[in-house]
Amino acid sequence: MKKRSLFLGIVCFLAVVIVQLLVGNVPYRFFAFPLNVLLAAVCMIVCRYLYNSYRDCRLVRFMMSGRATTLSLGAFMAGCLVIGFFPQLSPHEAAARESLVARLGCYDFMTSWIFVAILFFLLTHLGLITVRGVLRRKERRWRFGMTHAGLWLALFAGFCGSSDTQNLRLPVYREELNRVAYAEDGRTVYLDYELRLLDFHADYYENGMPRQYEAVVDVGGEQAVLHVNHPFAKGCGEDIYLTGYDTTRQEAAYCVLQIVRQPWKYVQLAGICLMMAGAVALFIGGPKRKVYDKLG
Amino acid sequence: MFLLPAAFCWLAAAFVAARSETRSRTAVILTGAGTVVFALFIAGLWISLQRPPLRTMGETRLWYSFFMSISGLVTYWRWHYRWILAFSSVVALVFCIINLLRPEIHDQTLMPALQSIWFIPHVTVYMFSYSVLGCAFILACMGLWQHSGRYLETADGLVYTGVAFLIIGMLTGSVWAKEAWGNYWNWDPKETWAALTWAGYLLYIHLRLWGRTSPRRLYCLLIVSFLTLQVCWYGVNYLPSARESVHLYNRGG
Repeated sequence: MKKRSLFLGIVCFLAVVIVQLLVGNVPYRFFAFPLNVLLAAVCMIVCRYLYNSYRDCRLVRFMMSGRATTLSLGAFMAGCLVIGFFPQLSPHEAAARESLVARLGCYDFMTSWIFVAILFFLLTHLGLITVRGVLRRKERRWRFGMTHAGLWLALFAGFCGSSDTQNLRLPVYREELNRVAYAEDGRTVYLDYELRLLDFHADYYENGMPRQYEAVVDVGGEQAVLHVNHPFAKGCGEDIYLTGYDTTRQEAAYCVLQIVRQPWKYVQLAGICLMMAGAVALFIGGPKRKVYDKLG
Repeated sequence: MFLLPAAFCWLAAAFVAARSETRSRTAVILTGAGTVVFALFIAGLWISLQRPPLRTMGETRLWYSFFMSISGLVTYWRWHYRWILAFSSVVALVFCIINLLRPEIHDQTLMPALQSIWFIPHVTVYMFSYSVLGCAFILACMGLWQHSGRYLETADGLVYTGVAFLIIGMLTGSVWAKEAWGNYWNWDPKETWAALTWAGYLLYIHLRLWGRTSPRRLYCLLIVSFLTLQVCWYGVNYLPSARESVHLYNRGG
């Protein structure tokens, strides 16, 4: 790796560390729709503009180079190691810790400036080489396009969509309608429809472990059958999951539902499908290059 | 009862292959026979449990041994390394012996989250990928030991196959996670280590494409990536960060 790119990498890393120490984790909820869409559009236009007009500029050349791939994958692996070794806590619990590693965001690393910067670098690099590869590569363009564009799309949707994702929970009773749900941070959210438990069945193994359980729920006048691995799609990007139930009595008086609002899920799924096709092409095509090496 | 004939076939095949200058048909038949015996055992276990034997760590070790013998056989068949069957057989048998030393209670229970159409493809694809990447690991160790870069080309073939299946396993897992828990990716410790393993092998593929990295470093990268794969598979259970993991299915079982 050239000294200049290493120096640039170290300067950027230190800048991000200072931001992290000064302001704490990224307030990602601030970037909810429409700001995330606006910023994503600006980033894409800037990338396209840089590729069209400044592709010979040193920085853009670096961003499309093999060194940037090595650096972005290496940084991503380092980030994964932090998440893998440090227990990841809720934002509230992580903020309560005062050690240096806590201030660096290691206990809630996914929303730290350091990890967000790594993902942003990876996304920008991936976006630029995907555009270049699809436009310029003649051989195996499809395989390259599917794997890289698929990964970019899935990462991009996860990155931008996290601020729009809502994860709510609420108990649903037999006797009364309920529309009051609770977010992960304890906020109360009022749903625009009401829910009521109509029926519930649970089947058990001999050792008492549940084999399967199923709830029939009235969701805003619509009857939904919910069981594990089978969520109910309530409109575009909103799914209702059965997560728990009343275990204190024979006939459950309530069940616990999880409502996930994730408008970007279709974009993520498109990315996943593209990557899957790319993986099949990777298996079928295999490595084509013949290289005979000597141990260096 | 099943392990003895399978082990005999695998070890005899490894012995025959090691002594033969060219590809030995006897070694291929013996490995195939051992694998069939092992497959019969898995099929019998599947029938007796009335569920796919893919839930516990011991059950995944069975699949790993099974796929390891297949991966070793394919590598031997395709590239004629006379020592590969010895290594793949030993690795497969080590996992069988761990199962014998740490017997698990195999019951019929299958928690609701595991009752999904993604269960079988997700786990078997992963286990196959692990076994293929295991063969790449053996080649990397051999390359380092012999100070030779000649195994890299074979390792490339194995890594492309292993990574393709690793990606498919990871993506089927993410679609399943969306159905079960509401998110494609949760940065759960197991998922994080899977991402780390995947990134390690991707780095290998890219470094190989540019052809500027020394074989020694590439072998080391293969070895480190395989170690992260081991952490992802079972090592993660011993990390403090894994206490809240949703991927521990035999807790208390």
